[in-house]
Amino acid sequence: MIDYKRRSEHIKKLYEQQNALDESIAHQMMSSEKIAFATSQWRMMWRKFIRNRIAVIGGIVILLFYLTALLANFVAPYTLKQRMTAYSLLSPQRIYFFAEGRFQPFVYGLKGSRDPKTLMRIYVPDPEKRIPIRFFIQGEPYKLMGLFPASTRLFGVEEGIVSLLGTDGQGRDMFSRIIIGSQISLTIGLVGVALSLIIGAFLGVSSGYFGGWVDNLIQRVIEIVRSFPPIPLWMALTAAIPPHWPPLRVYFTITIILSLIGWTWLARQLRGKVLALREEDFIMAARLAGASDGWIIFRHLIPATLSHIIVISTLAMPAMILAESALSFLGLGLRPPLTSWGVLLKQAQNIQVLLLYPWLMIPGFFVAISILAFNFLGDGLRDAADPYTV
Amino acid sequence: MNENEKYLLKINNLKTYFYTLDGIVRAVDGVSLTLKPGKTMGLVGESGCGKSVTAHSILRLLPLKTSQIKEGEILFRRRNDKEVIDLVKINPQGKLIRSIRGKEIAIIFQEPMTSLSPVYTVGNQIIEAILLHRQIEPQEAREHAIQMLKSVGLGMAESMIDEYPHRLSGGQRQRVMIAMALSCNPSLLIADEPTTALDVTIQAQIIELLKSLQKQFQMAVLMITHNLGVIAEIADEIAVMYLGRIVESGSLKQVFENPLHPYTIGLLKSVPIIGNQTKKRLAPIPGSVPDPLSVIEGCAFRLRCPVYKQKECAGQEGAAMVEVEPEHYVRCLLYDRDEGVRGNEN
Amino acid sequence: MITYIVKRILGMIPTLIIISIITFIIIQLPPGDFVTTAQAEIAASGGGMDASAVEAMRIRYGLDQPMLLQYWRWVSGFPRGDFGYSLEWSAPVWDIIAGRLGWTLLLSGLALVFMWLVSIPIGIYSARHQYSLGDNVFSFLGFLGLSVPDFMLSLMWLVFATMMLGISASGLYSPQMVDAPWSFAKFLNLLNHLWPPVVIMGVVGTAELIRIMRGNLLDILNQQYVTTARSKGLVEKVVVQKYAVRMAINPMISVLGMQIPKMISSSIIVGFVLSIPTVGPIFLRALITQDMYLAGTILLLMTVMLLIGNFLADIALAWVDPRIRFE
Repeated sequence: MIDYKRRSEHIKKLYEQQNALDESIAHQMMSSEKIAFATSQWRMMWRKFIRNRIAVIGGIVILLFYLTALLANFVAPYTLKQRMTAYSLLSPQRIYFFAEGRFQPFVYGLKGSRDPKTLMRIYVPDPEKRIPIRFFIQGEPYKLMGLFPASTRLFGVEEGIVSLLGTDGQGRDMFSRIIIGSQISLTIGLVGVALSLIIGAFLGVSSGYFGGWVDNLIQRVIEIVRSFPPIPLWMALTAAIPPHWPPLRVYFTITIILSLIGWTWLARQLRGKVLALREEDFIMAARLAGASDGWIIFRHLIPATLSHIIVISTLAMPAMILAESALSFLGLGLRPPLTSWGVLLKQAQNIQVLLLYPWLMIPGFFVAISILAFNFLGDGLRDAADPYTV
Repeated sequence: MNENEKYLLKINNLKTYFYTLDGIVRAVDGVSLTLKPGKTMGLVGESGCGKSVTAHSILRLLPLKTSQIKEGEILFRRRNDKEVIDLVKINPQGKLIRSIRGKEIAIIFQEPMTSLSPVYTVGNQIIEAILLHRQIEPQEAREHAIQMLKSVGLGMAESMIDEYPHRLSGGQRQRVMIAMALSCNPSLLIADEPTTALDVTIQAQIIELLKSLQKQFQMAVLMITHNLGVIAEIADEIAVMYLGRIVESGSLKQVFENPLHPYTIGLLKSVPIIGNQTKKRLAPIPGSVPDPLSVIEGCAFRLRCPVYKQKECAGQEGAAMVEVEPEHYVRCLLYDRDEGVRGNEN
Repeated sequence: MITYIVKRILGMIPTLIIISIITFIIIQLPPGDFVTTAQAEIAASGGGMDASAVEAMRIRYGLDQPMLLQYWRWVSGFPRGDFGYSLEWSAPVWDIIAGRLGWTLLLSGLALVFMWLVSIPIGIYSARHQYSLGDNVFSFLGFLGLSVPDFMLSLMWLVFATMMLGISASGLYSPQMVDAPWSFAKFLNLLNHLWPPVVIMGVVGTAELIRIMRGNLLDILNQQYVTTARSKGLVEKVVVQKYAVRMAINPMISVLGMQIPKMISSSIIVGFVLSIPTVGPIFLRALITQDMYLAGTILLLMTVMLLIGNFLADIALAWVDPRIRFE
């Protein structure tokens, strides 16, 4: 028979000895664990995000888009306004990559003629004449990022024309115009979201943090703004922009108009988050320690909602890009000389034009791809930041 | 006594695994239990030890895609024909298990707030269960539902039956759940932390109710809880579970008066037991439950064990269940050999 | 329930008043007025107007009066169904928009129905077959639907219909049918022209609703009461339909309310591209020519449509969800 009673008594004693020791260790661990937790939270999110392949692809596409927009003048073979009247309404050219078995991209020269039946201008590739595509070629001078004068371009041809996506009615290269137009299309979303964020974060956080009549008033305002359908309201507001305003002013006015509605959504989201956080111990502790409201908001609440802010900003981008292109498409948003994808699409409204020159629709695909990429990215970030809530 | 006559439910070496993105979680890793008809078995352990998974395994309520019963058998004696079936072997969505669920084995859950659908009345949800298992008229079923509500101590049963769950308090909802569970007179009631989410005073009422109903309905109860106070109130027998395994089992008296496993001893030291209050400080068990994904060789408790100093605890198989005194089992190397406590000289 | 409805209606009145004021201010924002625009147009075509004619025109249209008075003139007519006078069309605003409002409502309503009919079954399928091939295909299509702007879809449909199908996709009828008397053939022709805009308007919402339905259902399938239902011994089909799907539909109703502004926006753009007589095209025109009563009334009515839509969605939600009904 085992003497089990002696053994169990022994275990009980061991527990009692251990207690005093453990408590001091536990105290020491608490503080270091907290720091580890804050950093590991971001690392965990990153690990989860990186596993979502489609979100990573979305992120890469977006990076590429913005990089191209940054270096647009270098990437585009032609300037925004460069007219090649001999080649108006040219369809996208076929690029040949290999000549005599080695890598040497070229396009064929073109012979202009007229279709005998429709009398429309057509271009026939001339197989006799190969025009090599040269990289880092000297082209029209420009200012890189608006600062550094330069004239080297990523690629181009010495004679004739290279037009990856065709030309428009005035012989301007669509590829160049789309690349340069991306500067406006992509930044209007960025600036618009940034503005919405400033308004939304400020009002949303104060609404959630202060509660009471502040919350009430802000919620009322949000309710009123949100009771308007967005596109018609945007239309009415942009229609009020005087036609004689300088382009930059129009650009900023439109971003302001877009964020005028965009902020409400951000504010609502943040308010909910802050309402939940307000009851947390660390906010309570800060308040009891006598921290001012501003300190608590900027030192505690905003950092604590940062991951959430990143997610909702990413998810707000598509709506901004979409709204700008829709308004410009309708002729109410940006106007030439400002060029965005929506402005470029304006020439593709007519069915006759579309049937004859379908490549004029291509800017629309760029809108779609950028929105798709943002949706993928935003979705992945949302899952990484918090799998359960918005 | 014939061994087969004794039990209502007998679980042998049950292993239930979950397949997550991060790896396999061995939630239940070799559990054996025996429940006698009409008795109450308390299954105790910290959260995450596999108590609820054991309960869900019995009723085959586990998610089909992410979990699997790898091994073992769950033998259940059916009510009428006295036939014994192995619940592991039957189709988890089939007719057979559906005829057992609710009718012969019923279950109540921890969260009375979320266990009832908010969009149907209480009556709707009870009557549905009755009509499913009994060939009676809806009107009769309604009468029976009212009767059940009365028997769980809900006074205004006639009006309560048409209420929506959100209009009831937590305690009332748990009573409704009990009424629903008992409406078909099951031979086994699984109570999965039935009082955890309730106020202390309500807790006591519900436990009292369960005790009296158990006598009245002559059913066995598998009471799953981390609350030793609840166990002390209601259980005839106790099984202590740690990381997917039973580490000690025996009668209430045996385990409470004479705990053997270091984990059981730690548990009893960390919980204030009503009627046993002293000024002494409560002793928490050091450390925390290890990451469920990790596979611990040997004794799973050794990482937190105050006695652990020996190589054998980390060995391949760990200890086997040893019967230390009649019907009192423990899974610990300290009791496995007849060599006295080693390591206490260090 | 009735007190809830009355409360909601009374609560809408101050909102409506504020909205009408904001609308009026927005419409007045552009520098100049309709007469200025008309003047510019006449000047552009080589004509001219002398100052006294211009002034006479302003007085005739009441444009010389203070803003508050103009607002009052506009608003006070509402109870009589008088929404002011369109300067450009020389007709009462209501006569111009009544028919178009009907088409807008019809298209938006059909698009909402389309969204529900498509998204709920797909959402259920996707949730019950999570991560299956079908689920992945649907979620990819959903992303695509979320991302392709409605004007692009309309343009693509125009090109596709004309080039591949050889039919004219714009307008409500084919050219040869426009003046034909009503017949079954004409009705079919109308239907053939109605479904594409309905689908295009519904695509974005459908994609969103599928995701929400899928997410809700996945969430609810893990709820305790679903396990309770299963533990009663119910057949899986009943568990899913009575306990899970029924609950998942509740939030879909409020989401549907949130889709209404998108429907209204979309009806403008799709109407514009596909030449469908929604209020969209004339709204655009009215904004450009500063035909303020027309533009203002359209903006206001669209906002009212939204309010009523949300109101109906709330009522429907209260009707299906006892937790809200008893508040």
